[in-house]
Amino acid sequence: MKQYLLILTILLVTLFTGCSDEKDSLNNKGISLSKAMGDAGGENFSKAEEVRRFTFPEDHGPHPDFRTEWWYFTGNLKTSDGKEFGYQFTIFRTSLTKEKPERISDWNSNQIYMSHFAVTDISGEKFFFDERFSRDGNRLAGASAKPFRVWLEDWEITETGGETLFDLPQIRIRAVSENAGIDLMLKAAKNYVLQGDSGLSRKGGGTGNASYYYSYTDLATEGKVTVRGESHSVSGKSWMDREWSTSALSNDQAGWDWFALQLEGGTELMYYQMRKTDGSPDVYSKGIVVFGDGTSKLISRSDAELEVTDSWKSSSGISYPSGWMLRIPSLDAALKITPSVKDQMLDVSVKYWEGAVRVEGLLRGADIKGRGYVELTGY
Amino acid sequence: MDSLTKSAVRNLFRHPWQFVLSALGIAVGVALVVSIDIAGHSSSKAFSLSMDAVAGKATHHIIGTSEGIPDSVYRNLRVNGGFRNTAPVIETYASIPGANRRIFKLIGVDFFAERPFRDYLSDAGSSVDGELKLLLTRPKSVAASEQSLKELGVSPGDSIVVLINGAEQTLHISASLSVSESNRAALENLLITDIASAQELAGKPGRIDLIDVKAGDDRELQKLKEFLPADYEIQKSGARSETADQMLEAFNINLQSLSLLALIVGLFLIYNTMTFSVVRRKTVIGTLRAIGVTSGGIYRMVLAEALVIGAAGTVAGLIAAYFVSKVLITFISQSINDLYYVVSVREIHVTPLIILKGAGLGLIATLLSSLKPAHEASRVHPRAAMMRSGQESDLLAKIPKFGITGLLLMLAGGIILLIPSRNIWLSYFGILPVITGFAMLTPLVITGLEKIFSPALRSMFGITGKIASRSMIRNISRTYIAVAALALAVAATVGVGTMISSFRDTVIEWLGSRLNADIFVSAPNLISRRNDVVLPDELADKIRGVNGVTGINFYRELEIYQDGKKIHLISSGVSKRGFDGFEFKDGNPEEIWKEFTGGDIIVSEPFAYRYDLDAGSMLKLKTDKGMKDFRVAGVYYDYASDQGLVAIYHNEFRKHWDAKGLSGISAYASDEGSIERIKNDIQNLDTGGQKILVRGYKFLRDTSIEVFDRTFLVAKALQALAVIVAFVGIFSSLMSLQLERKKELGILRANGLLPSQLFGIVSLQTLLMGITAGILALPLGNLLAAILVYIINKRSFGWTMQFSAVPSIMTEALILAIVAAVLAGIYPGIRMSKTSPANALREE
Amino acid sequence: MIGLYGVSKSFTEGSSTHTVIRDLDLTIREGEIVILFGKSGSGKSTLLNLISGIDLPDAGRVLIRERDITTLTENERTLIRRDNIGFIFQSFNLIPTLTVKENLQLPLELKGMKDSSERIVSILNEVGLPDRASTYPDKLSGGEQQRIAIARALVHDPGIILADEPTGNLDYDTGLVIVDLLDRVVKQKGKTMIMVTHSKDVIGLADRILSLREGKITELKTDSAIG
Repeated sequence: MKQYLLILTILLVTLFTGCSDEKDSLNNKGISLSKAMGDAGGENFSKAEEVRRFTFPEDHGPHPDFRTEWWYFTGNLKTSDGKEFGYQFTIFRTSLTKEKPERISDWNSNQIYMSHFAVTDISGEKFFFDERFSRDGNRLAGASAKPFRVWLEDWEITETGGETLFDLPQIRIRAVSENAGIDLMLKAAKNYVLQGDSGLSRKGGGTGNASYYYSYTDLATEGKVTVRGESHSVSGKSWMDREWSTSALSNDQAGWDWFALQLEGGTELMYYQMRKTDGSPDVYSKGIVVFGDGTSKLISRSDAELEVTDSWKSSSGISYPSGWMLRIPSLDAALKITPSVKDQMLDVSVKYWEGAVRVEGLLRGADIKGRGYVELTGY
Repeated sequence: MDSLTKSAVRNLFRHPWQFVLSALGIAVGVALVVSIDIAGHSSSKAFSLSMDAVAGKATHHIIGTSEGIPDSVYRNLRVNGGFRNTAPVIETYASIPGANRRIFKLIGVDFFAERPFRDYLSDAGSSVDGELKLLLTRPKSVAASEQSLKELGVSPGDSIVVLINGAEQTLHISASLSVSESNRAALENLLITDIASAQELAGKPGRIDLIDVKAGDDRELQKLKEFLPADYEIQKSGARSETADQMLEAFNINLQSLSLLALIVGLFLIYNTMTFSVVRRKTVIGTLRAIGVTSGGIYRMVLAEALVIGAAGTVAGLIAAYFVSKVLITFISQSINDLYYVVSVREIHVTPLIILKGAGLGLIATLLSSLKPAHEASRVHPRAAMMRSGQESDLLAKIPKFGITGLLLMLAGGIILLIPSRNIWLSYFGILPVITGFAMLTPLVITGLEKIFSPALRSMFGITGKIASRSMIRNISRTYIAVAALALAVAATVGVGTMISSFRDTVIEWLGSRLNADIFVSAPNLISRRNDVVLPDELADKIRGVNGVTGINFYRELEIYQDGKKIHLISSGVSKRGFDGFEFKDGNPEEIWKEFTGGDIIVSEPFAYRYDLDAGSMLKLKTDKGMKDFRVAGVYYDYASDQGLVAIYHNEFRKHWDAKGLSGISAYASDEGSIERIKNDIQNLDTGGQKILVRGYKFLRDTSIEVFDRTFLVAKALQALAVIVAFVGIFSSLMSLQLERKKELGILRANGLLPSQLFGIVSLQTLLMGITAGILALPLGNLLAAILVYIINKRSFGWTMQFSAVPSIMTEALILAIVAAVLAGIYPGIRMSKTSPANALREE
Repeated sequence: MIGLYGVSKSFTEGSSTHTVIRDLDLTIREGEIVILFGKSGSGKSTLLNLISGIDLPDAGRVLIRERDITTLTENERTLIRRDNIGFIFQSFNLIPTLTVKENLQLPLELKGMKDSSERIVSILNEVGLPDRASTYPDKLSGGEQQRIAIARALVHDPGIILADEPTGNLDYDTGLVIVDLLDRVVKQKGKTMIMVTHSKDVIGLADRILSLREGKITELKTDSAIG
């Protein structure tokens, strides 16, 4: 669900890792840059045009025929004495060309990797984030299905060798930045769900403006979170999104608000609302609800109603929504969503807000609580 | 300004000729010293800028083995070690073929690792998109500053053909980096490419030259070190510039010192002018003393006067230096490229310190040279006010004493020169008393020569001849300075010329014995003497197998960085026949050969000098297997490198170093007639794509001499400038002398001497002085040359050279002295002969 | 105010010694004009040099204003000369590189007198050349040069004037002008002057006329009017 983000970021990388002033000015030119991406840079990449059959573990690995792809993890974790943490760890892949030219040097690359890593110290109301880039050349970064491994230098997602559950090997995620680090073991507690139309998730009008998209919405998580040198043993739940595509956004789309909620009793809910440039929600907004037994149900734009109840202003003056009421009448759901920490903005190549949230409200008429992650882009 | 100072300053402008000429002497001296300083500084600055451009904000570099750093070492640092502040760099050079031979530094980087290091990359290209994609995915894509692209007349999308390691490469311009004030210097002469392209262009797949490191503290470095193979070195990032500066030090000092010679001549000119000025004004000075000016007041007045000359000359010299340095820089950077490292100097860098040094030098020289005249002036007795005119001082009586003092001074200088020191400046300091002492011998020589010339002149020119020669003696205190200044200036040209010529002869002789093969094979290279391009090892055998080849030598050159110094190591696969071309300082060559092939090293003379080694000494070298001690079997004569060379037998080298490939191969032909055919056969061998140069003995010898001559172009240019100073010196001395004699000549005219006769006297006298100076210049010039050859060069570089006096240089010097003297006599001669005797007799 | 007691002076040239002043006693009172005759080489100039401290006697004492200058250093003597003595030379000896005004400024500056314009204007008036202030000496005639030289000798108001054949380089008429000038600016102002001369035209100025012969002084005329 981060295609827009990725496209912009890759463009910035193209600009030789620009300095901050230029970033701002480029941010303003974001739309036109995304336009420039519309034709996929003249490369004949594959496009997500029709429903495909997913096979595992192969599809956990990279799909270099497609322009972009990511491995996305978020989760809410807790220590035994009640300290709460949130984390986000994503590795993006993008292809520069469809074909990789034959060259002598091992540095030869047509794949660029980017990673975002953030830890929210909810109890301490602190937020740490970092961003990295690398090429796949010289095996500095890369992805493989067998064994499952996605890495960007010393940040990595690897299979642990444990039993594969619901087609997903058990995973270890390791990332360390200046002030925060994670070392987490994840195993699937529920099968994956295919998003959209059997995994073909349409993001805009026109053929190919779609992605292949599946999610593991319930990953039992255990391990360590380090914040400013202090290590905490934690456990909790993670969420994994896998998505690859070649082009997704259409010209009139400005960004999105995306919700991944893990509710007590084993229900997970994902909903994203595409925002048009005029601020109105796009018809391509949609979601899914996953029940405790692993069954799921799509949520369409008309099923949901999203109301912003609060806002937060970043230090650079951008105002973000910071509190919502999500109503899904068909599920008899009214969920109040509140950021665990107000400031969870990633000031990276492209600024966006992504953070841990608390959920409270009603589901099927009963009181319910939960945790989740929200991503806000295009503000 | 008080009246005294006014009077002093006006006095200068009353005699603009002397003023301008003596200021010119200082100006030329200052201009030379400063312009060489500027040129040297600019080239070292250009080098360090190009280093900085590559180093960026790196605090350290990781240096691998002779083969560089494998990709995997870097991968390990990043993926397993998590060392984020590291970046791989590949460096090479790309020269644009064509007349101006512009050389770019080509660096290969991983753009994703650049952020902590190279600012200019982020400044760059903000207006372009898609260029990173091109750089990454299109082989041989490069980025360069918009300025450089403009100069090359290309823009993104175009291609340029360059030579990299001797091979033609077509580079695609993918990005134009916008230039800002902060990155301008760094981007000059820089081509940036992706590391993959760089490995391919430089022919080093799988290898990195350096890993840049930005380390916060030593602890970080220590951790880093633990992640590196044991024999890797972490070097401070300025170290390479420092090494480069060290390399240039002796080169620069020598150029500087040659220009100091010019300044010394300038010094004499001022001395000359001031002495005249004092002698001429004895009455005025006496009057001033009589009306109450203290002797200190007079002293200060004369110094002030000299300082005005010095200041004028210094300012003019500083301005001239700026322009001279632009010319010099071409010569100097050429030499640096020939001898030391690749640098392209595109800009003049002047620092306040250089200006200050130049100004200080000019003014101090002026002060020094006017101390004595000022002292003499202060000793002018008030009685002089009552005398009719300044009379010849009593030098005539003191000539023998004067001469003895001169001899003693020369002796003192000789002793200073013989002090066993490596300090070049001390050596130069020793030259000064030698020169001064020699100048003090001048009156003795003049009177001696006059005794010889006088009868002849008398019989040839009658009374005119007699007057001409006698007045030289009568005005000895003035003539001797003029003659000495002239002799010194001419001697400087003889000295430099003879030194260069001696050096050249030595080198030619050495080339003759060293280049004892018939055919020489190498890879094309930017630095004439250094070979970082390697030929495939198999080529040696292939050449050995060519029909008609009776034997081969081969070598591999390697630069070792150790203890902040760069050592040139030659792995020598020399045959016995080739080894016979080596000449050793001492020891039995047969023994040395045995020891050499047995694993000992031999070192060149400059190396032995720099590292204080001798046969039997031990030398530690950083091998790819760690530090190892080697025994020095002998010290051989070598003029190829002023940095010195260490040679090791090839088999031994292979044991300790991993470096593959050869830098050069030479072959012996069975007979002279087959040389051309063999060259052809070699040229047609399969070299695995590496371009090779196959050259004959004569060609190689001639190119070597060409490089030598290019190196000494600067010295030659200096010599030419010394000639100019010499001419100025002669002109100024003789002219002031003649103008000084206005009254005397007026009396002669009043007594019936024809204007033509007067002209004759003046010309004859300057001719006599020119001849005297020329005769004096020859021994002094050769003495200077001998000092340069045996002491200065030896101490600067450790070279033993054969001194050879050059008759043609001496003849030229004589002619120079005489022609200059005659020319200098023309103007005063004409002026005197045209002046009415009444004017000449009139009181000033 | 000037006193020479037992003063002897000889010069050595090569191996021969030539005594020019021999055990000479001479006192000159303040305001007295003394004219000194003598043949060339008789030691007249030497006597002036001894009085001015330019030369030191081989023996004897030279008192200027009660100070024995023979005991002073070169520098101290120069300072005494600067403050007390004005020189007039036969060949004028103006500083060629200075204008008339600057030539006159020089002694004033040496004496440390800053504000000098008025003084220079008045002395130029006195010597009758008020309009030549910015002229260089070589543009002046001999007589004019000597008048400027006299002005220079007087400008800083010294008590003693030493004149070495002031008319010797001038024609007769010009010489008379100079004598007249000396009368006005030296004698009538009560300054002491010792003048070496060959010219009889100056005798009128003299209070005393001395003759120097073989190192000894003979009085030719004594002005008994001055007690």
